[in-house]
Amino acid sequence: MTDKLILPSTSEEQSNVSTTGYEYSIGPKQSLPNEANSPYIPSKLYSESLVYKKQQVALSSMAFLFKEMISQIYNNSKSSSEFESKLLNYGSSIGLRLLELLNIRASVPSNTYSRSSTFLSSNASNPSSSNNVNSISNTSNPNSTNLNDISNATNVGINSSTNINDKNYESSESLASLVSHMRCRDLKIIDILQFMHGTVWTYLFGSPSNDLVKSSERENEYMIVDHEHMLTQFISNNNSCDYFVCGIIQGFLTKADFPCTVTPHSNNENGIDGGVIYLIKFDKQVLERENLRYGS
Amino acid sequence: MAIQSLLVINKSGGLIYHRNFDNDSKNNSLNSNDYLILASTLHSVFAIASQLTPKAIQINQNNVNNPNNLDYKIPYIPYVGMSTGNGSDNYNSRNGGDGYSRNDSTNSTNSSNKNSKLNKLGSFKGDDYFKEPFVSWNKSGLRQLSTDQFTMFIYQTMTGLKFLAISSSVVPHSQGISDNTQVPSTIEKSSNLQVQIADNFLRKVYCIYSDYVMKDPFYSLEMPIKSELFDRKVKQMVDNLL
Amino acid sequence: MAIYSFWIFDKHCNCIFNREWTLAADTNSGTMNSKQNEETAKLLYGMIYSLRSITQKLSKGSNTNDVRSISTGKYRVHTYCTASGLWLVLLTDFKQQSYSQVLQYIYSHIYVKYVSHNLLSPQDFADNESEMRGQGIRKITNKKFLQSLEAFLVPMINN
Repeated sequence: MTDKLILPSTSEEQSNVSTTGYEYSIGPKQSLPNEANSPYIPSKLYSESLVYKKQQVALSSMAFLFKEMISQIYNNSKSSSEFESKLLNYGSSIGLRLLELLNIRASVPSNTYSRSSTFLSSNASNPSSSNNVNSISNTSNPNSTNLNDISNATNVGINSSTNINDKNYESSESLASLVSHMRCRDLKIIDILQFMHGTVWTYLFGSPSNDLVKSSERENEYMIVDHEHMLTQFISNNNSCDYFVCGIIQGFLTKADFPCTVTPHSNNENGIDGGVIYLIKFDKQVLERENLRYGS
Repeated sequence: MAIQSLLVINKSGGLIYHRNFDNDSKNNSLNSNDYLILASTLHSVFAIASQLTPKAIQINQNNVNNPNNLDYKIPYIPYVGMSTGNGSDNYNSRNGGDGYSRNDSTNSTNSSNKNSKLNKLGSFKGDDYFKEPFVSWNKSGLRQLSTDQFTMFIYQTMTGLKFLAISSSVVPHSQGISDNTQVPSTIEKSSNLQVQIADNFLRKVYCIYSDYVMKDPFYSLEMPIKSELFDRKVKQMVDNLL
Repeated sequence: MAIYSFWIFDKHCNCIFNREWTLAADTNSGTMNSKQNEETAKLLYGMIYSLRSITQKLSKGSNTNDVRSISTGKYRVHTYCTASGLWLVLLTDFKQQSYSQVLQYIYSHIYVKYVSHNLLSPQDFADNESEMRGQGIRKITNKKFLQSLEAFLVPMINN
């Protein structure tokens, strides 16, 4: 018998062609595009509206990223409660930022939702807009071109460019200018929870949560039910990964002055996946304040 | 096509998943050690099979323009193992699945179900895992083993993972020798179709694997699969195939 | 090309006959009982043996389970195992589903007629103890056997 090894699991095509590196049959090739020749196209990012933001990311990519984050935290924690509290903190830092962002977005009147902004739109079609910038700087600061001192020239250059930016920015839109009347801060428990169930959930997961329930046994307990727990839908046998979303809820509510603790519970009956229930327990002081303000 | 059992073998030949779907207690079932041995034997035989390619094929392969070269493209067979409407193939399949998924397919206009419908296939949008024909990655390894009592299909992925399905359907014997020139085309077509259905089905099991096993942070690679959601989805698919 | 090769194994794990066709155009091409095919013979025997033991383990009830065909992406192996431990193996393409009738015919009308009923041909191709565990090299060289086998199989090669 020959000594040739029979490899069990190799894929059929083994490409020997390397895409990087020097290939002697082809010779040296340019790896970077020639920047002098290509036309100046400003990034598409500048023409996207600040108001309208509908971006989609593949669920698989998000799930893998989330999975890796969980693995990292899990490996760095010594106990499961430490793992859960770390995950909660990660979520909290998202939640408290969401409060400000979603409130100002909710304050913008809905008829201004447009797909693209006008910023840089006049320059976008002009291939030599860099020349444009130079000519504007010449007219606004005529002495700059005569100076030989490099630092001085660059300083003036920077100033002139910021002047241009301000001019263009004013002529298009600013988010603050669109807001005529800021949304009122939610003071009642039910209001902030409705905001959470509707707006926050739609921002995070694309649609409002399935149910918002007040517990009949205890005054300070409320529940948000989510059937399609998007981030953790692929994780079985374990619901401690839901502490991440619990952290988002907790951070949001705590920053809005409703201190609480949030815990996840799975809604599985007889093996049928019923989703996750986030149990929100408000602190005693919240209930007292609620009674004082809106006493029944 | 009734699936009796499903096995998943990792790229080193170890058995990482095994499930029996027939509930007959008549089957003197092997214990787990036997299945481990079975998996590693199949893994090695799979490799050996690629070494036994006859010389005639090897000679023909070097001639690229040969029109007889085998086409490794597997056509897409709609709705194999899915619970929507038609079912899978010519073998009278009922509209199976549990009550939850059936409600979703009939209430398609109900917008409140729309979100749950989107997530029905995990990270795959639409009503089926894939809709196009695909190229088989298993060109020279073992693909099908037909015996008197069952047929075994093997699907190998590009990463060396093997999915095995043992089905109770049996390949029939051919007619007399005199019919050699007139190939009984119905038998040939049906067996070809069987392999294609099996490949479609096992590719969907691979899609379910990529969702519920790969995205689980508590699963370590190449280890036995202990995911309840994976079990559930696979059982749904096998039930829909009956 | 429909048929690629034909092999016979006996109960001592020896290959006692093999015939391989390489060119579709020339039916006299290929090898017969060549020494180069020894490794292939051992691999083929091993593969069929392992798969047979797997199927017997997985068999239900008292019915014996036997391998009928093994397919890969490129070729198909048909086996016919007799009660005396003889295996007749045919490597073909995918055009036909089952060659069991063909193999049965070869066994009953060609092997039995020209080898078993032949008083001068050895029945057990292993001479001594050392050849009983796969090291045997004796092959069927019976002319009538070879002739009738060629006559029977060659028309099927280019189906």
